[in-house]
Amino acid sequence: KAQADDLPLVGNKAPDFEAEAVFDQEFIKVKLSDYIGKKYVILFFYPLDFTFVCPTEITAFSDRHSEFEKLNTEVLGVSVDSVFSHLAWVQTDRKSGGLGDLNYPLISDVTKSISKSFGVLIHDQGIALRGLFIIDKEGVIQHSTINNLGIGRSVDETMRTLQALQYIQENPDEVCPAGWKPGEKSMKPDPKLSKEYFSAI
Amino acid sequence: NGSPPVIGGSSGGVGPMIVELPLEKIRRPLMRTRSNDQNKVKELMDSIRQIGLQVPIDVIEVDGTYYGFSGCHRYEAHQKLGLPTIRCKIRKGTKETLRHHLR
Repeated sequence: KAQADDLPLVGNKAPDFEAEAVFDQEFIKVKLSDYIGKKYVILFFYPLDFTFVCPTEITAFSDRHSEFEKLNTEVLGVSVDSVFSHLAWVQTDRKSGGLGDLNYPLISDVTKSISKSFGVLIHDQGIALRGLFIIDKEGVIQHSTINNLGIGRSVDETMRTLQALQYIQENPDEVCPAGWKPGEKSMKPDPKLSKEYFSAI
Repeated sequence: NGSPPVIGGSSGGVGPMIVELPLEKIRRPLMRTRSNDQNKVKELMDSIRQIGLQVPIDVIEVDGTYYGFSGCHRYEAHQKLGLPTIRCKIRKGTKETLRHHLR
C-alpha cells in the first residue's frame, strides 16, 4: 500500500492481488502474480456492471481475444461489483443490455482494494475510473491510461502499445518512434545510430 | 405540454414507459467518444427498414431532459435512415444516475 503512494505505478511491480472472478459462467480465483514468467496482462477497470453505457470496449476485448492470445497476453476486466453481478451480466445477452459470454475473466473487487492499489478508485463514489494497465511478463507495469467521464478505450491503441512494448523488450537496443506499428522501422537510442532511422524513412 | 404520446408500457405511470422520441430530443454525451461498428449499423438499417426497431433503446429522463448512453448502433441506424423518431424505453433517473453514466 505504501508503494502505491510513494512510487509511480509505471516502471514498478504491479500490486499483487488474489480475487474471485467469473469466467465461462463459473467462479474462479485469479492471482495476478500467477502470470509472472508466463504472460503479459492487460488489466482494465470499468465503473459498474449493468449501466446503460454501451459496453463496447468490454465486448471488443473479448471479440479480439484471439489476437491478444497470439501475443501471449491475458485480458482481465475489473469492477467493484460482486461475482454474482458479473455472472448475471454475462448471462444477459447483448441485446438486452447484457454482455453475453466473454473470452476472459471479470474480476470482482468488492473490497475495492485492487482499485485502490492501482490508484483508480473514486473514493466518494466507491467505483473505479476507466483505467487500463499493461503488465509485462516480469510483473512490471509498463503502460497505464486512465479516462474520466465515460470516454472509452481503444482496443487498437492498446494492441499497438502492447506490440511496441513487446518489440522493445525483445530488441532492447532500439526504441519505437511515435505511432510505431509492427513491421515499421524502429530507432536506435543513439544520436549516430538514429540517423539510420531518419535516413530510412 | 408537448410530451410524447405513450404507445405502450404500463398505463399507471409506474416503471419505464415505451415512447417514440424525436432523435434530437435525446442527449448523447458519449457519442463523440465512441465509434460504432459500421457493419452492425448497416445490418440494423436493413432490419429496421424491413420490420422496424424490435428492441427499444434505453433512455434516462432527468428533470425533463432525455439522456441516451446505449443503443448506439440502433440510434445511428435511425439517423442514417433519416427517421424522425426512435422507440425508447424511458426510465426516470436522478443527477446521481447521470453521474454514474459519465464515469
